[in-house]
Amino acid sequence: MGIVKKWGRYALLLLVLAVLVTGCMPGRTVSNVGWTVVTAEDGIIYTVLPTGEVLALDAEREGEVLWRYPTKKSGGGGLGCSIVQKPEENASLPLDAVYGIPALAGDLLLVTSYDQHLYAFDKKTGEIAWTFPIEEEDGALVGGVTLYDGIAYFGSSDHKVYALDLASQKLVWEKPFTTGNRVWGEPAVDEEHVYVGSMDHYVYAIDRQTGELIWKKDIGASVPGAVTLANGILFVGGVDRRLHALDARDGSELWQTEELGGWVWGEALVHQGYVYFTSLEGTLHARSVADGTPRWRPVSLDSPVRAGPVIIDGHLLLGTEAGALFVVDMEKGTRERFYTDLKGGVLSRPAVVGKMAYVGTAVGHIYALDYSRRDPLVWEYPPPKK
Amino acid sequence: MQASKTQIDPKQLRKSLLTWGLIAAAIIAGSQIGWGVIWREGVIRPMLNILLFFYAYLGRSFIISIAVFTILLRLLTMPLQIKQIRASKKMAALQPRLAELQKKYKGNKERLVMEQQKLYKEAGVSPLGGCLPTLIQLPIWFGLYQSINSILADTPLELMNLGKNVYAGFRAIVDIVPLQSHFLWLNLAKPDPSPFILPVLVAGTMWLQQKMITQPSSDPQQASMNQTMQIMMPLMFGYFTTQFASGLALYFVISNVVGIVIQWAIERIEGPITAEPASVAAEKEKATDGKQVRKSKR
Repeated sequence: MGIVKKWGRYALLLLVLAVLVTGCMPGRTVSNVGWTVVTAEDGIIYTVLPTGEVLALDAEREGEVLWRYPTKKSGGGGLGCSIVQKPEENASLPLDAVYGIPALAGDLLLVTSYDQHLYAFDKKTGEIAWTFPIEEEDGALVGGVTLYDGIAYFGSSDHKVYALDLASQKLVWEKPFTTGNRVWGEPAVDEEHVYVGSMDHYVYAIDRQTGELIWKKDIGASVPGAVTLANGILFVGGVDRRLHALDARDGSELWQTEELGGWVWGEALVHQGYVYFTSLEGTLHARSVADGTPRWRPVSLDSPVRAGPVIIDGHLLLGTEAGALFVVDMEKGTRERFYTDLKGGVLSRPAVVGKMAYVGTAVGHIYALDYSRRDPLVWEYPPPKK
Repeated sequence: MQASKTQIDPKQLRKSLLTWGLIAAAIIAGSQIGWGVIWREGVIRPMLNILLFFYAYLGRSFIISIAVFTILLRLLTMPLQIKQIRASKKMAALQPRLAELQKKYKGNKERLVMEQQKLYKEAGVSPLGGCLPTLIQLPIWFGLYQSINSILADTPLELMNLGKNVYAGFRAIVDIVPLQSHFLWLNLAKPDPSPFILPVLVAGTMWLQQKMITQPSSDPQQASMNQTMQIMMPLMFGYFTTQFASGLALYFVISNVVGIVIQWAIERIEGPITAEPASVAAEKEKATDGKQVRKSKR
């Protein structure tokens, strides 16, 4: 009996050592969880779930799945050794976490993933057309891409900003532009410049053709999100709980808000002379683009808000971490609950087509909601079990 | 036959009432306020902000921050550790007598349990007393795991948690986010890429600490279980280290090393844990039996 116990112990020890030696550890590869991101075009909803599955849903046919990636379920491979492979080596694997809204460019759906790849899917079939890997260490992609003139501009956790020609899949600049820290927000792009915020506290203006620095401005705090360009002004939120308005020509600060209740992370929205933005503790703000004076008192949304607002039928639409959707009157700043039966919180911007809003939640549910209806729910994915 | 009178020790009663009162208060508070809120406000936020405070004002090194935090925690829980060591010593001293009892009441389980409890009561030890420091460490580990992930904020979800959990008055946060997460070859937010150095360090230091803490047992079954635990626990934690952020693994290493030092210091002061020689134990047993006989004669 004693011998059995002793050898049982050694067997267990060997098993654990084998797992350690072979490196068959699931946690080392596909491990992060994203949030659901949604975009829409021509009646099709393209989405990436927190699990890394990419789906195309038919908006007209109650969210019927048109295609999904991966097509197969992941094969276990004993101790999980098969998932040591990267997704491009194993088509049965979903992507690692995705946080940026996918972009649509011609026949392609562009998805940035935490696994250091930009994926280009054929938006009709769901097959991977090509991938662009970030070779640098710690090159996780968090923000989405910004498209301009056939070029995808995006930042990376390796502190760099890339400009990728979609036709040739080659980098446009001689070398990627380097900042002092992670770049997690989408850049803003105009004819001449690419503007981007970095966690090194700086906002950069880069020459769009050459990738050379034009100017940089220290705002005194990390920039976790996207910068918004409108009317020659850059709107940048920071962990200093302020929104900064910079002159896009030289980066000089035009105005900044007082310290708000939380970090300003979500992308600001500019509409008819006002900039609308959220702060993380759960408030919506409206300021004059010209001088930053408040349009109305901040609107409390009862729960943290990560993403910025979008416009639906002349109103602002916002989702909260607690899983509620609000619409806010742009003139009066009054709020109304739009839909509150969501499963999971809303951490990314909804996609809006006419009066339809497509909303993804942190637990992988997607809702099609009609703003003109009293009961707005048109369909949800996955469909509820009957 | 005489009905035995149970005497209630007022000190013990007060202690029990206080313990159960605290448990009841915690359950009521949890159901009223919500366990999530209590966990966040009572564990995560204080831990996260203390770690950030140390980071901001102690050289902006996350390792120093974790080390200082660990040492403070260990100092705070030191009375419990001393208590645990003393309990272990008492338990070790009881082993030969427990073995004797097992022999004596081999066929009478009920009597054996009764006699064992009597012995524990006489010696003033609780067989579960040694688990308390480990139980207290558990929420600290879980809290630290969440706090470290949020602080190092390698993903947007973790950064969002950091943003939500930082105290509003903590102004230095603006200067320190994102935290410097590189230390030697490690990205503290990710598992050790080597991937053996940290797992071996965690397992090795834990094994040593376990070896120092574990009481010698005269019960072969107990001794075998202790031996298995001594191997399995470090191996398990070594394996976890391959999965967890290396910042947390470093916490384990620092915590184990500090624990070893404290254990060593206490043993120097109080003497090592040893079992009483069987002869002494047997004599004590005889003496106890003798006393019982005399008592029953009266």
